[in-house]
Amino acid sequence: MTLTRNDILQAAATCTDLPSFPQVVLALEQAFQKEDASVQDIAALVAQDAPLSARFLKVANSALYASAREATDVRQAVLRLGLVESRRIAIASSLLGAFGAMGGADAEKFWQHNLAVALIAEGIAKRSPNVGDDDVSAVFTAAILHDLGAIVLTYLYPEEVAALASRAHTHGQNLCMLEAEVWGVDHAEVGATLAETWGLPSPLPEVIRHHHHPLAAPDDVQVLAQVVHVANFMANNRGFRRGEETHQESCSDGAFDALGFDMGEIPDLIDEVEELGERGEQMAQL
Amino acid sequence: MSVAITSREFQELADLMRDETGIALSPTRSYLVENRLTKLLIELRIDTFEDLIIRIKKGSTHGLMDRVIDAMTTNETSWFRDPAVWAKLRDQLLPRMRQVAKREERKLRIWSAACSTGQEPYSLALLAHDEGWGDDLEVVGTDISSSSLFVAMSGRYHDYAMSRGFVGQWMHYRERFFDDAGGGIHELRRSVRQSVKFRKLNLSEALPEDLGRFDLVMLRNVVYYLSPQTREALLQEIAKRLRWRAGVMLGETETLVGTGENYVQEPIGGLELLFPRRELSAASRTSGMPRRTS
Repeated sequence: MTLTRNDILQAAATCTDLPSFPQVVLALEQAFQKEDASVQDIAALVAQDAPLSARFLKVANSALYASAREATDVRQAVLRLGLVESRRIAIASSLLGAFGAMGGADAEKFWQHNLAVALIAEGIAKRSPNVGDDDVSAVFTAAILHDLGAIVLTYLYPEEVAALASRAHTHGQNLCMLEAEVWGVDHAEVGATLAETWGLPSPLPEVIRHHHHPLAAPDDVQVLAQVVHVANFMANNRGFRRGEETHQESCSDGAFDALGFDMGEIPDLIDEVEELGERGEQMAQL
Repeated sequence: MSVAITSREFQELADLMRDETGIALSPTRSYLVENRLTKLLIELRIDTFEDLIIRIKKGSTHGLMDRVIDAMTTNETSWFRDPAVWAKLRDQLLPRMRQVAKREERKLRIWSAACSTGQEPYSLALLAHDEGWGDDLEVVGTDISSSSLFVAMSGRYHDYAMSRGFVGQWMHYRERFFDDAGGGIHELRRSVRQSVKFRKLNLSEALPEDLGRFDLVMLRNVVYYLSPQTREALLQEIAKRLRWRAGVMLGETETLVGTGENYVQEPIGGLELLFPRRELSAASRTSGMPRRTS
């Protein structure tokens, strides 16, 4: 039986067979957006969720944050890492806890890609003279979720996804375009539908929807969609990829230019992308 | 499968492209518009080219024209594109030009215009490094696309890009100068990358003063896309950037029909290059001899 646009969107919209979205991610985002976000608030949220606490502590005590003394509770770990890094670890850990087992053999690669893109997106947003503070702080979570639709597709329709990926590989085609051509819907739209069904707040569904064509995004999420799009392109160029695509991901020059980088700083930017991408991959492996 | 374009729709899109970029689309290449833009139509759920044009004109889809330009200007590129030309470059033209530069105790400078993701300027650098004189060469690669330049500066290429051009006698350049970066990514060695400087340049605008002067300008598969006015203006600008006895190389099938009055075509090193006419008359005046391509 051929898979249709309706089948796919309906499955995403009803969420049957899918794990639910970890509410702690939304609570963490809310807590971090408060001006007076405190170590206590964050530690309390993480500590409420036993598997998340365990994972959080494991990452905080890993070689990535080499420290002489081991943190024995979440509060200590948050204090040592600081709020910004704690937020990254907490969000990544809860998403990996909820969805890490989906996607079969490719799951590890998939999350390595997502985390690489999230850190790169944050790095280029900070570097860009045209991205405001609010967008800098919102981009990590938007970026880590950008390919949500792809993992859900792999989970729901493993054979069809594998067949399409192999077709894209053999013919050097763009997988996203092939999805739209064959199924009438691509992973970006599937991810956005799912995000809406889960009730994820704006701008998450819209950034997910437009990460391959950011200039078509509504005005208020333009900048975020552009940053995620360009970060995804850069990550793919440097090899932080979720699949075995044989071609270079294309990039909208409108989006690239909107970030306002001077071409003279591109070599530095490439080094930064490499460093952040590697860090993202390490975070996903822990 | 692609969406069909009518001649009226083609004309309207060609007008929009010319106004925005100075790039002229020939009606004989309407298939190119269909091929390249069908994917965009599918992605944006637009059924016909007529709807696309309406949406561009109304400005209802943010950045739509940029996406059309992206799709139309991303050129397929390969290593050592047109191998016969590269064999002559390697065996005749480059050694000859190199000697001149060496005698004058300076680097040989070549401009690769509209270099996309860097295959042409790096192909030049590969030839020089393979023969051990890479440090005496400076290639300037320019393009209008920032993201293409990112790929070029990054020096990392995916399997598909590597499969285009590295065959037969060209295979050993790949083996000698690329490292496997894992996961189907190949990285060009830093030493070769250092011979190429990239910068962003729109060929339909005035050239920057600090571009410098060149021994050779590779303007291959570019003029075909430019309107006659843009082409003429560019050729005049380029003439000012050429060193004494330096020429311009076009793509194999390109001609300057109706433009390039100030240039004359001459064979050198087995290749046909274009030389500014002023030099010919200057050469005849000073030496009393017709110009020689030595």
